[in-house]
Amino acid sequence: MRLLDVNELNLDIKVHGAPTLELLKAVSLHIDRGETVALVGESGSGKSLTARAVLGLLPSTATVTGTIDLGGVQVLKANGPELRALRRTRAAMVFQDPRSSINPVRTLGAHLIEPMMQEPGADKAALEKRAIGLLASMGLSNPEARMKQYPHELSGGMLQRVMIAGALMNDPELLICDESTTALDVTTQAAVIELLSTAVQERSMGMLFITHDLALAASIADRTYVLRNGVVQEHGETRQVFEAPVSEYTKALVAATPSMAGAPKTGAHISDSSQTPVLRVENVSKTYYLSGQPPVEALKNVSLAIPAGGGLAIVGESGSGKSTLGRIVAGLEGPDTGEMSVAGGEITGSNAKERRLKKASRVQMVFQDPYQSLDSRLTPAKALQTVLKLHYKLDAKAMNARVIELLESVGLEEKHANLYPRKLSGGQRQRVAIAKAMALEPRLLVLDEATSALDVSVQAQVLELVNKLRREQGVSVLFISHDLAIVGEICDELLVVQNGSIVESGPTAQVLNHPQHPYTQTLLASVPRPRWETNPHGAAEPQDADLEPAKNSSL
Amino acid sequence: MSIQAAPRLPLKRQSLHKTRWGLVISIGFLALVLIAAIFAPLVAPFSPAAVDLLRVNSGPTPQHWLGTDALGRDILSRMVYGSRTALTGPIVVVLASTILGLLSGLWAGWAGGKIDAIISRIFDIVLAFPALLLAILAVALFGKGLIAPVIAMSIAYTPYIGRLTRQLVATEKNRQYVAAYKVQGFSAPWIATRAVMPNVLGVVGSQTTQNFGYVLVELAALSFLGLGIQAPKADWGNMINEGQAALVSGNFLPALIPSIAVVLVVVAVNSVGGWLSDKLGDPFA
Repeated sequence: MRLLDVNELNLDIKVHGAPTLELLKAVSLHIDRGETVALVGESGSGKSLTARAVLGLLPSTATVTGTIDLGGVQVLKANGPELRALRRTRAAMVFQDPRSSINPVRTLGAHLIEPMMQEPGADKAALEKRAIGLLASMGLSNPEARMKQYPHELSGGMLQRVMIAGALMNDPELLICDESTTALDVTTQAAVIELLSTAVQERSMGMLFITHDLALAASIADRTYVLRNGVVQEHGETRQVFEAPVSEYTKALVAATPSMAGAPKTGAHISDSSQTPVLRVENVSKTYYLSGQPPVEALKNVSLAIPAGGGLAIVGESGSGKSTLGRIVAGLEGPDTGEMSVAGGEITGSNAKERRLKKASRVQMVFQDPYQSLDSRLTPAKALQTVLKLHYKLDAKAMNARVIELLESVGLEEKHANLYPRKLSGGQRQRVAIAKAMALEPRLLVLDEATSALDVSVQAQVLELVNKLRREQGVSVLFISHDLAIVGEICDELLVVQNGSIVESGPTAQVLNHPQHPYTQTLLASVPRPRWETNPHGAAEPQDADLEPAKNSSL
Repeated sequence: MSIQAAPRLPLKRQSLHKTRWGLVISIGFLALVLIAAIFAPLVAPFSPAAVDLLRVNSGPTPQHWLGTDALGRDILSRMVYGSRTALTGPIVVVLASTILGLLSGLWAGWAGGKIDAIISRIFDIVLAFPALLLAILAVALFGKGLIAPVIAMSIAYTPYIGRLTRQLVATEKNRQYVAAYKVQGFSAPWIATRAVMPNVLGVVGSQTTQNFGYVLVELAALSFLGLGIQAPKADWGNMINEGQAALVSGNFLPALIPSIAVVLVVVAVNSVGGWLSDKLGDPFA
């Protein structure tokens, strides 16, 4: 039986003085009871807007045509009280970041119960009992005590379980998950996905699962819709969409999605172990002391080395100390104990400035979020000139030539040189960040989650760019990531860190295919896998072998 | 994840668009006052001190457009000359307190720790005294006039800018672009002044224009109390004070005109300041 029927939904946003934005174009989708439907798309595709439209949560500037039928209610025609009743009784939504969608000064119990108290004749004691039961079913220990806890006392994963419990309080027929696991670690994500699937089956709800991650959709959804620029590109059984996509866009998306199936791709093998290592870290420890809290041992006796030209990946979950390691290598922080040398040897210089510049010319860093790591007041040309001016003495002509050369080396054109960062896409911004780092011709490039804020097709292009720089300029790479599926694409060596210690290390292919440490095995098992693949380490051939490589125009 | 892409930019345009006529009037009015202040001898029809005892409290006439006061002085001319002191005081105070506040706030926010604690406590102490009280104290110590209260107010208004700057800088210095500059070998003073400072100027700018309004009103109050600019020099504040006498004899213009001028200038400065700080904070919109 149809639970949700969205028919020919068009959504325009018209703002005074700007061209009308057609954000959704004839979007049709439906969900039956007990069915999980994934809505997949990259940022700006309109997937969140679609979800909001279903709950009638649209901005007042939006013009909508089409119909949305949710369990017999015409959402687009409903008035305020009807919509509120709909959201209270029929549908619920779980958002991306649990910490920003829950009131930090109210207890979890208040968060769970208060919305239901709006219902006439609500029974507080019964609601509390129900909330405690739901928390228990979400796998939270000691649910009675949790009711009195505040959000800051829980980790992100636990909090997301509370949010799901809150969504289930009203026994909804439709559960909408908008990137609900994106902010979570991969092991936590696996657990939350498991909980969601169970809840949907037990309650025969419908679930609309919105994600940018095709692999995640494949692990949970019965059917999948692929959305791009407000147009449904393709829909069908998830397996069919995944294995035999019809539209060009879906093919490109599937190809760009990192796959753990089969032998991992490996990056350039150009390390030269005969030379001195480009980075040597010996017994480095770092502890943070925060007032009123027990000290955090971010790194415990970590040692590693990268041979000249080598690529080393460091993989771990949040709080594992991987970013601290990256910051220490880049010189943003000093280690408490231990030795570290970049490009062999002490950094010497007669004064602080000389040492600073010398250090910068040896190691450079690319940060996670290109929307934050670039100064919004500087165009790419200006940003590059600022860096070059600090390090080299170039006349105007040589400067100009160098700027253009750098932009071209990262796949940007001259026309991008004078655009402010906000006019550039995420991928273009990250290319600028890489160009800035490469301007100093460093021996080592630290990439701290440098692709995790990007869409998959853009991520594939940036990874390709890093490989190109490794091949052509011989720069060594320290690649810090939470994503096991992509590290194989650029790194030949892999380190797995947990709680500040290295638990496993070795050649990437060996670690991924034959993990020894239980933690590595857990991490690998948590990587989303299509539902139809029962054996995670089976001999399933990669489905994308015969598909076109990513040729996405969003960059 | 995807909803942020669309409507962010145009919404801002819209709000600017709506208020544009107010902005135009404000800019025009301020330009008029500024021109009058700068070219006062050319603009004013009479000397501000010229007494016409035959036309005392006259009300508007073809000769005296805004009438005369109790001593027969031309109100329009006194307004024009009075605008010089009315504007100079706030401009100096705002400039001095903004520079002091930016520097001390930047230092506190960037350095953190003990330096931050010391500077912030000094801010707290200064904030404990109302600006007007400090100004009166300065007058008591150094005598009446414009200089003493202007120095006192500059100090009194520094913490407003300083605290705001400190807070903005403390947030800003943890942003990734600052770390990116550090990795590239830029020195801390360079990053603080050349990269972080421009990024906080927009917000500080709007506080600055608010301060202008407060200072204008407080200096006028001081002058009204007879502690600022001394008669016979014209100032809007002492004009209101002197105009009180005329109110009794039924002529409300000598007090009303300068009062209206104070209100209009404050409103116009705030409206232009709001627009300017939008531009400063977001110059690429």
